[in-house]
Amino acid sequence: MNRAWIPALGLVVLALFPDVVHACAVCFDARDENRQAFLATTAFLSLLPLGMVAGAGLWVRKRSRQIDADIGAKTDAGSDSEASADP
Amino acid sequence: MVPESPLYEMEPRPEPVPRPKIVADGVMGMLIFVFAEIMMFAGLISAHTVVRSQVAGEMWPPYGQPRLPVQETAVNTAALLVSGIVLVFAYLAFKKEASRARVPMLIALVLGLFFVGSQGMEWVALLGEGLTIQSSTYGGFFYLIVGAHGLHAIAAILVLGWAWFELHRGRLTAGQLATVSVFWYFVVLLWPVLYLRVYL
Repeated sequence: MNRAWIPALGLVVLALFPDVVHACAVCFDARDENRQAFLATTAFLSLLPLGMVAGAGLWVRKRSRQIDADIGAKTDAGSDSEASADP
Repeated sequence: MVPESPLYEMEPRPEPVPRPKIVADGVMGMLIFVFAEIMMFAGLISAHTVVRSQVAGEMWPPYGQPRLPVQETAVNTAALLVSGIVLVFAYLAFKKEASRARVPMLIALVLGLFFVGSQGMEWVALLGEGLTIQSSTYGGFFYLIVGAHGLHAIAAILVLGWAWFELHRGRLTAGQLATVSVFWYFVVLLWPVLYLRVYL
């Protein structure tokens, strides 16, 4: 039986409890505002590049499909006009 | 000798339709550059957020430091946002007829110059009041973040000025205008975020 999920689950659990494992030695402060600021900026800096890449990828995909549709419409129009020109 | 048979009579292939580029080379290059710049500003904003949260009793700006001119800068912010909208109209006008983009591009340029000029005057006043890059972390972050944006704004003005001259000579292409516009929109859209984080 494949038990590769066990260490993965362990990592997820550790990620959920950074205070318990002291994952970041400098990310601790007694003030709640400071800890929240560390967590918020970590999430912000982690998700921002992923969001930008995903957004760019989706936009390129949409644009590519749009171009394909335009080319298909032009090709269809061309073949239709050739067919109608045949006696 | 090849026998003439119907097997060898092939229909002529239709001419392949040329596939246009998904995105112009210049725009793609500028997008990659802008992504990198966004990450740089995200790092600065994050550092600012963390340092601000460490100040005891939420005393921000720190005691003895001058307050930033929030209302005057709001006017500058509005001018910069309007310049972005005007540049959208310039691009739409360019697609119809290139010469029609000349006036809106010039308006965007003037609004950008107004923004940078006003920010410069603001800096002179703040330096006179004792807010320097070494006076506190407050001053350090202010000049670092706002100064970095100011440099980008000056660069955006230079490239938009170049684009305007190219348009004047009739040599500006749609791809070049789109590339310049991407950088301008970056400068415009970044500023409200910085204004909300640094000034308020």
